[in-house]
Amino acid sequence: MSVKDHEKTLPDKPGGECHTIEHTADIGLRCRAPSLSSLFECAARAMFELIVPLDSVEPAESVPVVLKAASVEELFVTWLEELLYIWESKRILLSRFEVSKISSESLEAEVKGESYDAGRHDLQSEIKAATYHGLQIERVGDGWEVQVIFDV
Amino acid sequence: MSNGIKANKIDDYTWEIPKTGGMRVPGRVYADESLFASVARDNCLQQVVNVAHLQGIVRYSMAMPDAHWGYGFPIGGVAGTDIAEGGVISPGGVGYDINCGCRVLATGLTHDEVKDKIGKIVNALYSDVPCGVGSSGAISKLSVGELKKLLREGAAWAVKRGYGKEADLECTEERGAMESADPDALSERALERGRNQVGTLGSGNHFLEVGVVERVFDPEVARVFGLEEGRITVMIHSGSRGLGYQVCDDSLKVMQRAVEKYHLRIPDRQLACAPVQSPEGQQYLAAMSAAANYAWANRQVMMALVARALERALGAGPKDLNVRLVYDVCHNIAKLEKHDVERERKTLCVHRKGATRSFPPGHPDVPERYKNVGQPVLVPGDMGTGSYVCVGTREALENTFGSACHGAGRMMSRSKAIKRGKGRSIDRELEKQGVIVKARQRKTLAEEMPDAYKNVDAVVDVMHAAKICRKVVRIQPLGVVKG
Repeated sequence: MSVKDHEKTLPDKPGGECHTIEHTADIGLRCRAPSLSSLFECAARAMFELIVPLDSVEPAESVPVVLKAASVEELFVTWLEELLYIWESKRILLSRFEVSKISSESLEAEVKGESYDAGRHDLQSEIKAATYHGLQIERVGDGWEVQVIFDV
Repeated sequence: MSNGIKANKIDDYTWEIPKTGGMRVPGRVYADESLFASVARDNCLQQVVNVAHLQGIVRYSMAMPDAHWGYGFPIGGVAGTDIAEGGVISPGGVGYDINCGCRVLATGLTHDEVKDKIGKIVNALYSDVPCGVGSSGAISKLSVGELKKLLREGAAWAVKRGYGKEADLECTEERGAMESADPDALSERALERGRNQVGTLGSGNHFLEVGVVERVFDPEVARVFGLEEGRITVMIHSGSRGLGYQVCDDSLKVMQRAVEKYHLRIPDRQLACAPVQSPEGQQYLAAMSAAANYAWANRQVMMALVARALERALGAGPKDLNVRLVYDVCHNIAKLEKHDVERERKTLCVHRKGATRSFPPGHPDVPERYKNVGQPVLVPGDMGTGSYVCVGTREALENTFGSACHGAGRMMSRSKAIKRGKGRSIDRELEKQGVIVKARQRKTLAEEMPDAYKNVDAVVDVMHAAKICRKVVRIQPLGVVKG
């Protein structure tokens, strides 16, 4: 396989960046991305990075996600909560997030990961919930920015 | 004052924030100078002010000495709303971890007998009590039907299945089950999350702590509680796990809409609420109560697992160990209670978020065996310092709707704690202090380091001086298991 072919088979990077923010009892994220869909993908990735080093999680299984909400803030929290639920109840760690359709009130996505393996997956934190506290999603310049606090 | 919020010192342990703007009642903070500075720094005072806006709130919006910032309500916040006056119930006043609470077990073991065996005990607890991230229960996945039974029966469900005994229920707040529980008020999602986490500890600030009663302040009450200097205790601190979080999450969406429906003016969307007497309020109360029952069932199961682990570690039988439940309290809950407000008997919805009930001698809800002395008030500290068993007072009932602090309270962010913990071996530091710690993740150790918490001795001293609860014994930790 030539280098060029290999590059083509890699999934698109989310095209955003996130960093953690200080908080007394919990942990927060601030993310910036060029589009709403990449913002959601970026935040999901950053959240799971808090749970487990993502380079240890193979995208072996695919789970479809279809959500509706009353506002973009609710959609965002519901998205993260859905991913946490997939992890908690199905014991699937997620490392790839692809939002194919998004509006301020609904989204469709495909997320990929694999079943938890205690031998390979070094769990870092338990994220109990994504909260509404200080939740802000806004257009900034050409892109989008979000701030969210997790209950840990 | 920081944040521009004025607070007047009433006495050495009490501060009052005068009623201004949309506040319906003044704020009241129990703290000494140093703890008050910590509360003020944390933006907590703003939250006390915000809570004072709630419809139906009476007397004061309160904060305990271990208060720190939370969602809507501060952690360490207490507020009572009059249900006859449209008083509201707010999930933010309970917290995500519904009925996060703790129980203290007394044993017949002495420190001398086990001082060389703490490592062995800690290892046994670590392996026999499922804890930490990604673990499932000691009880295999329940059917939805069985889970619903558990949600109705609470700790009694566990007793029926051989975890502990009937007498334990007497020494559990609400006898381990709130009657207001309705499992059908929970979403499918919440039920699904609860099915395979029964008997699990969880992580973060949840823990098991083996300790020794190192100081007795009130020998008479200590004797009634069954606590003796030099004897070994075990504390279990845990909550309602994923099921509780889901109930909170589900309720927040409903409450956001209720705020609009009932034209409630709240200064912070995290204080979303509904009148207790509304369908939304009733549904949350029913779901919250079911989640609370889940936590009690959980702690009842874990208590039995702890006892078995001790037996295994020490090669002893139940009669040798004489493990007995002293009491179990919740510190994240909302309850309908009758209190005297301006000489009138009212039914209030009392929110205790990171706060513990503290009822006096003679109160009908205090177990028969403790009625002459009052309700045990359990105050866990951080990993290294110590924990207290206190007793409830009449003054608490008169001033704080019978509520006291719940523990040490955080004051340092997790990321700061981790930074501070870099290059340090927290478990070795604690071992030098005589505390053996076993944690599933090193990160938890750094996040939960003693430096990250307020001083529990200072917190309890304030409560004692303000007569909100009275010190009975101090417990020195010997071994800690964290998820």
